[in-house]
Amino acid sequence: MIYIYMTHSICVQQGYDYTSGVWQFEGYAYVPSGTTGVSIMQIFGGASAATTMMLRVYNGALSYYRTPIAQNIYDRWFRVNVIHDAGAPKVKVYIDGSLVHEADGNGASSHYFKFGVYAQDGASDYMESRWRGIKVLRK
Amino acid sequence: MFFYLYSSLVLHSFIAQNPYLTLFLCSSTHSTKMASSTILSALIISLSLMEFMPHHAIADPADGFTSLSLDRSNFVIHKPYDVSESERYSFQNGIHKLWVYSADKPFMSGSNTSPRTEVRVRVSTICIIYIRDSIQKFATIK
Repeated sequence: MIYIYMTHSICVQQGYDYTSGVWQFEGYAYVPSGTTGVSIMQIFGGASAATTMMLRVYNGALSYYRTPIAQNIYDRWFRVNVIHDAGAPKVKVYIDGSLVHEADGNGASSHYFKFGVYAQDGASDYMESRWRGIKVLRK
Repeated sequence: MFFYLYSSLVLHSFIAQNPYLTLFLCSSTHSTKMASSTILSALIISLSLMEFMPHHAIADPADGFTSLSLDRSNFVIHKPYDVSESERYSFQNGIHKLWVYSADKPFMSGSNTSPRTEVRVRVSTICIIYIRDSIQKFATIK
């Protein structure tokens, strides 16, 4: 007889925030005209601030915090991909599949993605964003 | 049979590099049953492999990443604390719609943050490792 000793390990993922690794958020966003002064997506958690990244809308332009990175985003669906290398730390923002912004991360912390509407300075009375096809991906 | 296997391999590499030319050749090669079936099988193998060939892929931000499976339990709604969820959030036909007013309350009582309606995406990061040991017996054949 031949005896074969076998070991199986199964990795079941169950948990919450991330502190390391390369993570990606994907979604299709729609912002109606009139919504301004608002964060529509963020990477929560940072060493020197509460966030590592905010995608904001100011008067029809999509901005990385205050820096415009894409124009004329009102009233249309656009694809958002945000890659966060928590170890580097680096952030890359893709709009409609094209790289539009690269930035340093904001230090070690516990992170997660958020999307929606979060009032910033100069916020309109009414703010709205719509999202579909939300994905979280890992490398 | 050896000829069949050899010609399949040669054709496979040829088809992988010249897929359109091969389609043309295939349509003009009906002289023998062997030749057409060899080409056909090689073509089927090549077409199935071509999907995985890097030079045919279009660069995409998601390339090289693995999508985690998400369900509603991964989405946690933050909304002004004094209104119900349905007054600031809807999910219909696969579309999350979120809205908020500048005069709204913060997401929790006592917070001094600005009004928000946001989905917090809770993702999985903790790996639980199950180890199952087993001993399997195989009879030797004499």
